[in-house]
Amino acid sequence: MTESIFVVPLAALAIFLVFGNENRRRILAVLPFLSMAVIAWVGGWQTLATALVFVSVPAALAGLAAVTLPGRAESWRIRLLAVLVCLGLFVFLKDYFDVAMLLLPEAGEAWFVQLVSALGLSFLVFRVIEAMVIAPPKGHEALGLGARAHRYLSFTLAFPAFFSGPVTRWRDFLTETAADAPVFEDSADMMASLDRVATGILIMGVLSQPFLLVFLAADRGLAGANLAEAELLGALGLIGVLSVFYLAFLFWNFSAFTDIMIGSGRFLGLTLPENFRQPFVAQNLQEFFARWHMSVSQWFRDLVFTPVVSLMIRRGVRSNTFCAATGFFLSFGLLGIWHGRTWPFILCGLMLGVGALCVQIYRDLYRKRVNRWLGPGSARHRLVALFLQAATFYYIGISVLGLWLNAGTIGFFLRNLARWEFAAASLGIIFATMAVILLGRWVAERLPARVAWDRPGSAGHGARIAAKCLVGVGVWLIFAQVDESSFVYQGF
Amino acid sequence: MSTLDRIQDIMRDLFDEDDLTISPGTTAEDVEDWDSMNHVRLIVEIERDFGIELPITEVNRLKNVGELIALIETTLNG
Repeated sequence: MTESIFVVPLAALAIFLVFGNENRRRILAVLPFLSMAVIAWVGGWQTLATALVFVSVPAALAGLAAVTLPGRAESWRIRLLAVLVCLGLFVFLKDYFDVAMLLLPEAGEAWFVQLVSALGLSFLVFRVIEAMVIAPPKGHEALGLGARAHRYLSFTLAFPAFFSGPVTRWRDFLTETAADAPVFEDSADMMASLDRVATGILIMGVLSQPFLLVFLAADRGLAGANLAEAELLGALGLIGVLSVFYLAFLFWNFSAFTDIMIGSGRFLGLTLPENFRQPFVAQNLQEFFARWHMSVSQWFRDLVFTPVVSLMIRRGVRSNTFCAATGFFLSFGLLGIWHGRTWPFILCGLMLGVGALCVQIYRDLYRKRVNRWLGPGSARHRLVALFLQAATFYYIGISVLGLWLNAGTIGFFLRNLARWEFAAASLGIIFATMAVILLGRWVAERLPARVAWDRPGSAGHGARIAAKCLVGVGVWLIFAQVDESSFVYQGF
Repeated sequence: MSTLDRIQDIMRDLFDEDDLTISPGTTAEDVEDWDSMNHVRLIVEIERDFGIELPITEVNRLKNVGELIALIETTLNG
């Protein structure tokens, strides 16, 4: 629901103003109930009811395991069952096999789609699974059932993270919320959080929303075009250029949403994890995912990649390539399916898996030799690094075509991957991206450091925050008249 | 033999670098072959050598060898 972009910060700010800076523990005490109210406000009562069922059923099973089966092996069997039930509910509600649509009458289909899209279900599933399988910090199990249920509901339903916000981690959440501290250390801390929300709103309105309309129009235009008769180099080049721009747009869109949610969370005494750390400086796909949508990447690393690879190593598998292939294809395959069940999403997962595996093979077999040949710090080394930076950007842009482009156009694109026109268009786009990166660096070096009035706590800072909000909301409202979709990941 | 020395021996063997010297401040950036795959191998070797099981969510967040030593010693003592 697009409303979450505005409802979440407004609700967080209102709660902070009512409770005050020194009453963080009281805010956290009422957090599950306030979260339920916000979820019902944004998504409706049916969404809240579905969310409660989704988080309660696996938890009830895990709780049953804790009470009735104190033995480790038996407890794990029930916890595994709880995870499977959670995944089963996820698959049913996301309707991966069209079961829900078959069961529902025609009139109910739109309601069902609305219900699930409002739920942020894909993000909820991460939190529920983690709470089922990761042991909480010491002391948590000694708490009463009511206190544990309260913390579990706070963790799974906390509203700044609920609507596709960063994926909070179970142990971090419990440790952080157990600490006794005020909401903000000082007024500068509060202004910095407010500024983060305002910056997110500004980027969402000014950069993200207009670009979204460009991509919606491009998708419609390409779907209606007769690509078979188009000039091949131009058509492939256009799709390639759009894919690079789409990745930049996705970054603005998602990082702006994350800024709003992280800033809002701070007003409730919650420190949500960061999601982005300059992803476009990455020189390979593994590095990119250590910087992009980090909270989900880290979740997959901790709960899929590392357990699978360490199990293989313990079982005596010596080949790094085989371990990496299994770990990467499983992680990225699941990541692709998590985004959607259709073949472009599965292809996206496969392409990312292939890319990550190629990086690993290069690292294992050639990196040392290539680095020696290039000479660390040499001009040749810097040029290759720049090329890899642009090529990584382009490869990921192509991999995520399924997020925005219609299946017919993707099919046309894939059918021509072996043509020289594709290679020529790709090289042209990569060289152009390299030029843009160099230009960006040149401009960044010449920009002044943060000006005095921009610093948290300075006199003009409050006015600047207000201006950001006004401009962001104003532009957003103008573009919302054209198309109401404004946050891409809401669909997941 | 200190925990640091034992980790250094494991790393020398794993990364095939006999003259590798580490300190508590050493990070993955400082060791060429210390990537995500070899990090998992390193943790498995450490678990075997010390006879412990390190929590996955913690081992993936370690910033340097000093934090790895602290985690091993906390697990051993606790």
